[in-house]
Amino acid sequence: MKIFNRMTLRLFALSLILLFVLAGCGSTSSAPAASSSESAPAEAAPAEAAPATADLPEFCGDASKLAPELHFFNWADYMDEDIMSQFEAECGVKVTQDIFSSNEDLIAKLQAGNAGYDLVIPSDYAVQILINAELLHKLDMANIPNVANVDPDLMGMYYDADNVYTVPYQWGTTGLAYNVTAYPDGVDSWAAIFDPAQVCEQKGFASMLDDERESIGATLKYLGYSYNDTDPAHQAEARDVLLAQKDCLAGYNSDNYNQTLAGEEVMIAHAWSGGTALARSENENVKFVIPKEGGAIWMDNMAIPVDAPNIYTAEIFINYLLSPEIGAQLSNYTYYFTPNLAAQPLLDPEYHELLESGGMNVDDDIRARLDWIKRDDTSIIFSDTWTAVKAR
Amino acid sequence: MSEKQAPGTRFLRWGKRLLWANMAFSFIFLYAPIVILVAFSFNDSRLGARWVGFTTQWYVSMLESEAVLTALENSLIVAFVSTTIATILGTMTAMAMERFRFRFQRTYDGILYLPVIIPDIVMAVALLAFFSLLLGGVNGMLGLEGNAALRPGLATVIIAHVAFNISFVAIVVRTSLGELDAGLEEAAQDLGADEWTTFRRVTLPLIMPGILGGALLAFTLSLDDFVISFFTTGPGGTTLPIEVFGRIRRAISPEINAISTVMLLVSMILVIVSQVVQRRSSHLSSSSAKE
Repeated sequence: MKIFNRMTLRLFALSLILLFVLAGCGSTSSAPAASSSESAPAEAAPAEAAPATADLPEFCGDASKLAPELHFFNWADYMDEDIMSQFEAECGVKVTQDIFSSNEDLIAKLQAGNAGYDLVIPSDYAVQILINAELLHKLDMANIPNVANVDPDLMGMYYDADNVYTVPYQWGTTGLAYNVTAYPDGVDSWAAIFDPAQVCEQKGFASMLDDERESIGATLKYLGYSYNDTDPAHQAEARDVLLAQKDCLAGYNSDNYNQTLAGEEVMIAHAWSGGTALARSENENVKFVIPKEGGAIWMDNMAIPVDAPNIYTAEIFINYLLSPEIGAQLSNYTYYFTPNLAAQPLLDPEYHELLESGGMNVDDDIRARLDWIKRDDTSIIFSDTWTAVKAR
Repeated sequence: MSEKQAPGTRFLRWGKRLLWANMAFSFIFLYAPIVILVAFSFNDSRLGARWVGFTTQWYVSMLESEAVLTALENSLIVAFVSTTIATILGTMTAMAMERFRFRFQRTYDGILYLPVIIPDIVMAVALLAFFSLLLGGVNGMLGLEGNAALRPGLATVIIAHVAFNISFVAIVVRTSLGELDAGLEEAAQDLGADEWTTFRRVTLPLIMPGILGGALLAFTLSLDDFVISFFTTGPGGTTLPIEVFGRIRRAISPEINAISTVMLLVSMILVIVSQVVQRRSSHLSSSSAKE
């Protein structure tokens, strides 16, 4: 009997420690949340108990059709948590968010079926795959009137020409990030990183994205072809350029290029606009340019899986995210571009200034130079070229 | 002794120095990254690229972040429940394998090692297919639709973790069962203890270090697992590794360092507690043996 008691005691002690840790986290979390309201935007609704269903704001739609909970499947750190709690306070719908880390992960989950998510954020090419696999629900635009706020230039993209299945979430570009102390006159051509004579002036201080489509695509652009060129002769040319450049690179880096840029470990980098904006917020010397030969554009989109349990609620939430105030709040948080024209005047001036002075903002002129990265059966050649580059 | 030095002493002294150097380097390689991780959790920079200044804001923002707390809570629930179940089942399996002879025992023995050997991703995809078939079948049979339908979530993650943890626990417990002196159990039974009493008062206390070791291993593996968790989870089931891995895509923010530091503290406390408990129990059992 004695021994048995001792064992229970041990288990009990273990569970006590765990409970203690959990409880500790829980209680401290609620206390500072109240005091930190300064960081939350001023228009945040009072987070009282959920309002009575009778007098919900109009944007909450038909209260009788709203589900109590909405399951949101998103990239990490890609949604201001305050927005979710505001939506809960206003419409009484609790949004729970889960995280995926690549489009392929998302596609695998949805393909298995019955995943239970109501709203997902696939990137451009992933939308095409999901539509072809008949995994997306056709949106009822009557529930999403705020779609009128979206920049018409960002509607009807190649992967969903009539926006039957998706509406834009956030978008960004790929170009060159550089440090003004090393490039006082700025950078305007891909030659800065692809011409061996130029890149080797920054030997060991240059980096390329570790991404076969982006890196080979940029090389193709430099050579005057399209981002999506699969002609074997052009691919061979691109391979030779990449090999010649390789000796002078610090490395291929798409995970923390923003850190190396901010820390001035890298002076010129093939980079995404969002990460560069983040680096610039730490280090004013970091700037961004879409080279004159052209760059790439990508967009993440809101879509509803065909087997989503709460389709109506998801559409109401999409509409909420497309409202001007929430759209601005979202981009102030993510540091990516908002597709929401009505939200643009409401963006945090500091953030807007950061993008404008950093060269990230996209005008019509730049927009005309941006290519979408498309995928089809012939795209496999990019993998072969990339292997040949990385292997040496 | 010191007057007539043996010819090997010089060599021995050098050997000792080398051993010291070896130890120093081992510690540096093992702990320098951890020290840096902890130090940078106090760095006042969102990107953590270089040292800017001291701050505790990342601990505050970590504790305010709903996503991080939910993920931590999910991870601890999964680890605790799956460890408990896997430890009980694993110990039972170890007893069966060690004490009894039955048909297909060898086959079963081999299969038991499978989750230890096969790559995580293979097991993850197999489990995803299994759960989607099983849940789909049940939903179809019972006519469950919409929000009522069964779907993956924390429960499926727990089942998956139990599935691979049973093997680890069983292997560890089997080792301590193998080292157990069978004479002790026979002696207990000679003195009139029935099988249950023998198990409870002789076998169990003797293999307790093994069981605890297996449980700790299972707990760590469960807390650590990304691949299997990702493929078997569903709405509301994001665990800490999934959250952390997702965040790395954007920028490895010091918030991650802060979470890791807290996790490090928790695991250190766990290890210390288990050591203290084990020491005390061996002390107690030796003193009670004297009685």
